[in-house]
Order: sequence, then structure tokens, then C-alpha cells
Amino acid sequence: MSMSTFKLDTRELDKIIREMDNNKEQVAVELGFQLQAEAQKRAPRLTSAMSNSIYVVTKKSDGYAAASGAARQANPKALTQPHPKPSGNVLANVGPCVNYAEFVEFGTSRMAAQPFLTPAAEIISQKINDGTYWRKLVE
Amino acid sequence: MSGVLNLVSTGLYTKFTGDTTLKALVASNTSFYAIKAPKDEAYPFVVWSLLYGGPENITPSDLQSHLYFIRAYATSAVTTGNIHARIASLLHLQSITVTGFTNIWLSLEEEYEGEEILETGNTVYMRGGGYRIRLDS
Repeated sequence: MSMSTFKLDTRELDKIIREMDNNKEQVAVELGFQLQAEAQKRAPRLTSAMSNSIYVVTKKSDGYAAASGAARQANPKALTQPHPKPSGNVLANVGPCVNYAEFVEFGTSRMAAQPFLTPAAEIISQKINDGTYWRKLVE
Repeated sequence: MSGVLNLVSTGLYTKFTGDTTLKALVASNTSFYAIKAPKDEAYPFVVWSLLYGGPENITPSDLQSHLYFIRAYATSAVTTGNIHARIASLLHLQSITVTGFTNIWLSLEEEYEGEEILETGNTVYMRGGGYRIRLDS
């Protein structure tokens, strides 16, 4: 049996992997804002406080003050609470900040659910699954 | 198209009411409701509703994918956990009968829990899950 040697040049691959980390953050933030827009479009509206309160917080930006202000402008009685600041592998947190939003999304024992965030997340996750954003990750 | 939702609801109802263990955990043999329970329904009971889904339109057949939120409400957190566990054992990687379709996939994808305070001051607990139900004609 003969043995052959070969040389594998991984410089291009290393470069892609290095850039992937930066691209990952950009893609996550872009998807976060798309999720915000999709959820706002689908949120049930009575005063618009809840849809106004949907915002994105990333490691570099925080939309809480604007979202909370817009929610209270639509409904002065609305109580808001900020999302946790992303850390570690979490790159962005998205959602409404009014305190009653989870009861709208998931319903209660006496009230039907009116989901708006889960459908938005399903739509945005399809963009990851169908490869729309893979190219952006490596270019 | 909306007929599919009725058919899935019938499939879930049939599955739940066919299980004596689950029926023993809720208030009555028929404490299973689509969308929401009737006003003043006695606890514990089970509710399911559509979170997201519809036709996939990627094959000539009628391929459907739905995400259902199936949860239990009770005045005891442990009871809601027991009901949720029983429902998971009946549905996760199992199947339901949906007239005109084959249930090609059914799985528990995520779990939820929460609580609410009623006007009476009593606490009601919720535990449940998001179930992916995929059908093909």
C-alpha cells in the first residue's frame, strides 16, 4: 500500500469562521427587528399600548425607554418592565414590555389566547430554516 | 381550510376523553375545551388553541402544520403538572385521528407555566405545552 501526503490550506475557512462571529451578531439583530415588526403587525389593538411596547434589546442598543414611553402615551395606566439585557450566547431579546402581554398571548383560564409573538417568531424562524440568512452568516 | 381546525379539535377531544387516567384528573369527563372553557367552568380543565399554522403549500397533497397550545388550569400547581404530564404522554411522538388526514408528526416542542389571580383572590395555575401537529391528506 502506498501512502500519499496532502496539504490542506484552511486560511479561507479560518477567515469565514472568524467573520461568522461578527456576522452572527448582525444577523441576530436584524432578525430581532424583523420579529419586532412582525409582532407589532399581529398584536391585538385596543389602545395600541401593547403593540407600541414591543421592542428589541441587544448588547449594544436598548429600545426600552422609547417603547415604554410609547406604551404609556397610548395608555397612561400601562405598567411596563424591561427585558433582561442579552448576555453570553443570547444576542437579542424581543417582546412587549407591558405587564399584561403574556395573558393576551397565552390567554387565561377565563379568556381566550390571542397569540401574536409566537406566530411572529414562527415566521422569522422560517427565514433561518429556509437558508435566507445562511449566506449573510458567511459573507 | 378552516375545517381542518375543527377536525384537529375533534381528534384531540376524542383522544382526551378516551383516556380514563386523564379524565380522572379533571373536574368531569368532558372538561376538555377548544379555544376557551365556558364561563364558571369548574377546575381543573383542559383548553387547547392554535398558536400558529396552516397549509404548507409545498406539496400537491394537503400538507398542514399547526402549533397548538394545550394546557391545564387548576387551583393546584401539582394538579396542572400531573394533567400536563398525562397529556404529554398521550400526544408526544404519538398520533391523533384526524378525519381525511394522516397525522404524520406530533410532538411536544416547548412547555409553559403560569398563574393568575382571580377576582375572588384565589390563584389558578396553568401548565401546558406547544405541540406541533403535522397532517397530510
